[in-house]
Amino acid sequence: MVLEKPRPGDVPEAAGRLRTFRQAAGPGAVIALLGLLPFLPVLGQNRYLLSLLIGTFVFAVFAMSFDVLLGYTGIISFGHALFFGTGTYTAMLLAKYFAIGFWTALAVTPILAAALALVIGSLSLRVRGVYFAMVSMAFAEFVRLLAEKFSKITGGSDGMSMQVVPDWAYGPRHRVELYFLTLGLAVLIYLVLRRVLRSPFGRVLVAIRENEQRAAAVGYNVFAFKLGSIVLSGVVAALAGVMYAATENFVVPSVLGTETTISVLLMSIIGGVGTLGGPALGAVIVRLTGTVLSSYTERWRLVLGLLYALIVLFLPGGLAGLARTWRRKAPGRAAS
Amino acid sequence: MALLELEGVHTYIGEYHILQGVSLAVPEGSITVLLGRNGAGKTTTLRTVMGLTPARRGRLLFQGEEITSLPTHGVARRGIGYVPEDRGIFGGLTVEENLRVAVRRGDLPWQIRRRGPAGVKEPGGVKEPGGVKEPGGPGEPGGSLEARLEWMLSLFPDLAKAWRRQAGTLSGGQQQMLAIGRVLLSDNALLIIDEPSKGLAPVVVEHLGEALRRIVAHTTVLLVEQNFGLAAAVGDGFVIMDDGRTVHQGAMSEILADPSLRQRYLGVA
Amino acid sequence: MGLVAWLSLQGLTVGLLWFLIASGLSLIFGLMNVLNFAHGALYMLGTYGALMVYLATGSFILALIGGALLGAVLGALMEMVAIRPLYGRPLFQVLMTLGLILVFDEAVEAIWGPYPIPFAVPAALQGTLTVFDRPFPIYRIFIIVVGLLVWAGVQLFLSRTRLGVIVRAGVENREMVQALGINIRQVFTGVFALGGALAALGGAVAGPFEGAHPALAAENLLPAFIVVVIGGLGSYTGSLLAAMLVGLVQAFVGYYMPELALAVNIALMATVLLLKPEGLLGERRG
Repeated sequence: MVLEKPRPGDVPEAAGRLRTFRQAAGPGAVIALLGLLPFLPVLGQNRYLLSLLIGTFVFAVFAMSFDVLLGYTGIISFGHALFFGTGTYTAMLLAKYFAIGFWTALAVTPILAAALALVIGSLSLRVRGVYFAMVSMAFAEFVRLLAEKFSKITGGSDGMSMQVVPDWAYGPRHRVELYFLTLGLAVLIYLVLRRVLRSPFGRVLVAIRENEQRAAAVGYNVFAFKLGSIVLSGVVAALAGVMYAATENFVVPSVLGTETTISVLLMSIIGGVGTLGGPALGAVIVRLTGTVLSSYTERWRLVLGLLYALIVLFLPGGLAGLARTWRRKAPGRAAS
Repeated sequence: MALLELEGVHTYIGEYHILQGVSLAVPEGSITVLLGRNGAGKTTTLRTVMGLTPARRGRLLFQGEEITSLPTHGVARRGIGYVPEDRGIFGGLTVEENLRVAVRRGDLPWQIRRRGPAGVKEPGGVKEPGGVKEPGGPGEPGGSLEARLEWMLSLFPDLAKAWRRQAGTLSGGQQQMLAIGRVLLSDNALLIIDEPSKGLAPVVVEHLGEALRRIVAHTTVLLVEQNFGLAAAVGDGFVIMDDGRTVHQGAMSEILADPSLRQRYLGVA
Repeated sequence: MGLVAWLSLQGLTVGLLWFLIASGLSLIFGLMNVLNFAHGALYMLGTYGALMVYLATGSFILALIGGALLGAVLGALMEMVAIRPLYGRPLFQVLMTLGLILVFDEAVEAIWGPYPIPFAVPAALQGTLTVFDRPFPIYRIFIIVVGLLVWAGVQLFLSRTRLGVIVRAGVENREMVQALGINIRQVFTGVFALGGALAALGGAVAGPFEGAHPALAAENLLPAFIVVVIGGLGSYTGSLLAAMLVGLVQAFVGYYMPELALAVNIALMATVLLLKPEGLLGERRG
């Protein structure tokens, strides 16, 4: 079947010079602002706000990794939680059983994630479209059940606690340190991903998204590039998972579950796919909304689910898409 | 009065502007043939009539009523039977089941379903069964379902023999007969047939031509046909298309008399 | 020998329950290319619906009918409200059904709470039989009987009624069905209702077997996916065969190596993906 291509975002090569400047200026300003935040008098001392942002950075990385698949390559995976959760569990288990610390985990996990992505990717890529989504979800559900069943090792559905992060960033007294650690990693990963996606490799991914047959006809090995995309996004998702382990120091099997995949989808759809910034913005919005909602109602996930459904129905381009249409319309209105 | 009229129809597929002004009229009780080179827009014209690739501009009138924005099933229910280029038979279903899907009102009587068409009267391999009563004209209720079935099977006796076979296992010619036979079961005023001769042996094409001539005694036909021999043999009126436009409508004698038409649009000298 | 037969019966029970979910999933996909990720939720709601009717009326038969009806209504509603506006945008359709998982799960927790609610086996079906010297619950036999009856009923519907033939024709060529004058949208809604009813009936029948709890949806979606992949999307008979296979594997491996049961089924799915990605009885799709 032909799967509808996701609405592309602002593709770099299509942008004018001013646009390029704006594109670079936007993220730059955001990063600078975030970097200065802890030094601000009132806000900077607010541990609650810092914790919220720390969580947001983690999910921003996760959302960006998902965008590599959905936004850039046009692959729809419903099993992305698998890589995120694998990262988290790997970091926790390494810390628990081998006393291996954060940095080593950060170095080891990607290798494991890449291997996993190679195996699962080459199996799932035998089918396409929504069928791919289903198969990827089946694999993720399987790993979630493994985490639940092997409770002697993983703590099962009760979860397990373990300090993953180094002492200097551990505990409520070191929020600022953890804040900079996660922010630094998120920025680094953002820059690397941007570089990779603007490289020839990234351009082929976009070509595949736009027209798979044509990309194949031009001579690209579509399967290999898709697999590469899955490995790249799996590795980044696993890194986000390690960051998650470091910030939460606690994990339950549901990080591997549909709920996690839905939240990353929600972030991508709200933020708009095809730009790394969009999903990152989506992560901020979803985390903030979730936090605000959860202070009002215990059923905040129901609200979030309905919100998601409404966005799918009425705002397919996400907020970024909305902003784009608005920007496009605005000059026209001024002219008339 | 023309049964079907297209006025300045424009159709897009995705961003591609495929039909760029198609105007034609299909007179009642005749076979109108759409001619033109590959890619001229013949198939798209038929699909636009059926609402499968809806027109973006222009008007389509059927029996004097506008059908431009009707959904596909609505167009069919107005009385248009469609036989697509790939025949559109359901290969995993039996011949009987294929026919059953196509019966718009009611269902095949269960006696026929159980015993096969022999329950009606097996015409055997005879091409001209003689005794078969021809059904009423379009719109006339004279054609009961049984009568239509009997008449259809007299046109295509092969279908009676293959009654319970999977349609996918039939020969190309038999599949074409099934595709045409299927739309003869409902009281369609117009049949739209896309390249019936495609990939068929000459003897089968000849049989099809005869069948078409007998069909048009009751129904109007709009035909796309690349086989110039068949087109010339069965067609009453001809429409020539080029580059998504209708460029000429008239009789075969006009086309034959005008070498530039022949060469530019048909590629026959 | 006795053990083999006994385990086969066990496998048949589970397999038929999964068949009830997977067949609807498969039919819906086959006809309209929509993969309903919220199908497990319909199964779960079948359990809850049946339990409510059972508690209210005390009639188990009414409970089964009520559960199935709830599934049919929810299935039809889902198609009309959430899926229909998105035809022509398949990506957003699956995104939608995925989001509905969250909505249904949360709604169930909001209404019935997070804890399992016991669902008593009706008195007439309590007790065990001795099958090859081993105890076998009568209720499991009931599940087998219901499963086979439903399979036969739907099979008859698909092969004998005109509507069933239209559904099969639609699976092959949707466009042509429309061109023959059939309003395919109505058929879509009907098939969604049928799929919902099948899943919910599965959930209702399984109720006294596993109780009602909010994890039912997630727990049963995975086996349904495995069954669908192995059997081939869109193939009704394929669903049955694959469900039997997966159920039997589950029973046998589960008996000898309980830890491995699920892994073996995933391995089975992976093997099918490698050797015959379209599934045992499925047709290759783009």
